[in-house]
Amino acid sequence: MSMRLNHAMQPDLTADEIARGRFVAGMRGFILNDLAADLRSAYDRRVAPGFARRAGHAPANGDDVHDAFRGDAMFNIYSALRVQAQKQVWSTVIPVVDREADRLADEAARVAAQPGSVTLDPALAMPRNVSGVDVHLLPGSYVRDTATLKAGAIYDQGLAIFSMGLMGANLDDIGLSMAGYTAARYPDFSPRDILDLGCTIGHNTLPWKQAYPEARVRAIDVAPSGLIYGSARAKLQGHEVDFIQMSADDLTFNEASVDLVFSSMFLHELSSKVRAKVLTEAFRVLRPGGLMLHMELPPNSQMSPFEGFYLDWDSFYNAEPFYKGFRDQDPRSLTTAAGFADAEYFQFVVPSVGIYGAEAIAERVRSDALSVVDRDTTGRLAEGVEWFGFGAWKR
Amino acid sequence: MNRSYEAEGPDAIYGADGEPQFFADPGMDRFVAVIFNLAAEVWAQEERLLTLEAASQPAAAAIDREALSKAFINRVFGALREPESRALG
Repeated sequence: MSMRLNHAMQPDLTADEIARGRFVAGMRGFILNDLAADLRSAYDRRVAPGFARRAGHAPANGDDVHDAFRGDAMFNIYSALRVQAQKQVWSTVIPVVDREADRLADEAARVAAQPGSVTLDPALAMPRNVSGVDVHLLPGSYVRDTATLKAGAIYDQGLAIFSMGLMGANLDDIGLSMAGYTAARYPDFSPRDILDLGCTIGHNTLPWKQAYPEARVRAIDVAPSGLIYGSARAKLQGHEVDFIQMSADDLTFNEASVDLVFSSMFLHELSSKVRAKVLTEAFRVLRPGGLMLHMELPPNSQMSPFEGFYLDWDSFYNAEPFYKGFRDQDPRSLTTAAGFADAEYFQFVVPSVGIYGAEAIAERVRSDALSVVDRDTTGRLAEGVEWFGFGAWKR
Repeated sequence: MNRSYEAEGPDAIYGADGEPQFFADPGMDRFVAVIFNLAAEVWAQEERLLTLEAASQPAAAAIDREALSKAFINRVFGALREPESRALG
């Protein structure tokens, strides 16, 4: 359960802070593994049968499951504890960042001259899905303490606890797994220009520089603090990445100027209208032969009602208002609506490289039949996690 | 949002204070927060004791705090588990 960061902006934690971080991460493990199993058991034993007795049919979708669960003791316990665990991630991390802010800024300044850049646009209007939502119950969300790197540091340290070690010491398991799958499945693909949308602190951007070291890698986001922090974070790890403040639905890049457009856990942060524009922009900037690839939560249409609602929980209770709306959409339809040919759509489930190893990814590349979406490991941040991805080639 | 057909719960998923509400008694959600915070404080104290013990007993320094934390959480919160899970231990 690694909670220490992999770079010099790792905070100097007091013994108490280490203890509190360990407790919160442990509680999240208990909730998302043990209580989640009990939630399933309760559903199978009494919740679904109870719903069926009254409704005359089994829960048919996530809304039915949610309705069936409301008021059940196990659901109440699971949910109430999970909300508290989320809050305590931040109450554990924020005082640390507040105390360490000057030292983190000094570490960032030390590498300012290293290759890589950060370009801010003070005139960029902050979209409401960023400024108006305390995503994951973080007060101020991505735009708190805007002119500093504090929000980025809070995200980095918070994710280390939140992910219970499942995202790796550098919080890059998603990027590593996706890049590893891409390189293995498409060995002849050699992108020269890579673009990561909604990069936050660039934790899943760096793996693309590692996979394609000759490529120019750019990472964009609307929130400046994450970019400032992410740039220093990348430089401290010796990776040259250009971080740019930009909105993914209004890219300033020329048409046909990028070979790979990537995002991870980003599309579900957007309204359906903005999301459609983001994908259209991705199509526009891709060169012919380029690849659009998104790591995301799996669509509800490909999940059982229980598994669908389990992942949609955050949409109702963890300030992720667009989660369910995204997951109710069909990813294939999203890509074709953006201009990609239907025949170029693909999707897959890739095992976490940190948990299963590179050979497991190679095995998944060899057999698409193994990319079963409807499993309790797909997209679920718990032991044995696997990541869902979809995309399309621009031909 | 309709209530669960056989369980009692609040009609609205959010209370007037903007907080999600799960239990029929609105005080229970706040009480869960108290229990959670209290357990965090107790664990912080436990690690202080472990540190003190490790200072005088070299063998104590090698204790796996991750494992101890997990055991602590299981002891404190295990009663919240479904009866079938508790029976398995």
